Amino acid sequence: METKPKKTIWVEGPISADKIAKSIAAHQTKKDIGAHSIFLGQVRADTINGQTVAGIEYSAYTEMADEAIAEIREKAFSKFDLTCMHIYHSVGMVKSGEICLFVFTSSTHRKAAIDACDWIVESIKELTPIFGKEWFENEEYTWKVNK
Amino acid sequence: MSTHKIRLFGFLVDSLKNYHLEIPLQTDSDAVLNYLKQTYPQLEGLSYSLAINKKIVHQNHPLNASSELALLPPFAGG
Repeated sequence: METKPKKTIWVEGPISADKIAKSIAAHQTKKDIGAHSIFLGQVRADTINGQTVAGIEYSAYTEMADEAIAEIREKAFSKFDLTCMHIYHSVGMVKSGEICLFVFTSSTHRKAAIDACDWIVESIKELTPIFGKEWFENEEYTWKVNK
Repeated sequence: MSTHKIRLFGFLVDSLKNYHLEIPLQTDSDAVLNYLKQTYPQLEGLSYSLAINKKIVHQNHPLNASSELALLPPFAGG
């Protein structure tokens, strides 16, 4: 049986504006789509105990994360009237100001695209085993905790 | 195989100074958590979950020698 190459959500380092632009352009041939919704997570230069975050080094339990993402994807398609969806997350170092999460949902009408995008982002944060080492400018670090 | 290998992630790698632990075979997840608590005082006060076969354990769960175990800090994706 022919199997499609397994899609991966993982991007080494930051997600480039070019990747996002190309992803948008790739949908121009799908003319049943009337609405896209995009969420971009950006690394914030938080100040923690007087020190500024220079970047976050992401790591993941990728085997479990891939299963979690597959479930999120399946549920998203059953909950919302989506035409397609794409998820990308960084692993490795992402400097403050750079993009670490890209969620892209498309539908015939806006509501499904917007609601699905929001639901997917919340689900990723809750269910996907991704960890972040927040590096400070002085090369010390702390571990990020989601709020 | 007379041990479980437990993969570690995030701050647990720092706390336990390793990427995995090897512990004697246990019958269920509660036994694993108790064993860890007694054997690794570094875990005291830390927030973590046990995953068996890539699922977080919310209640006691039986184990066998091939169960895939991981100890996970709170998630920080996005």
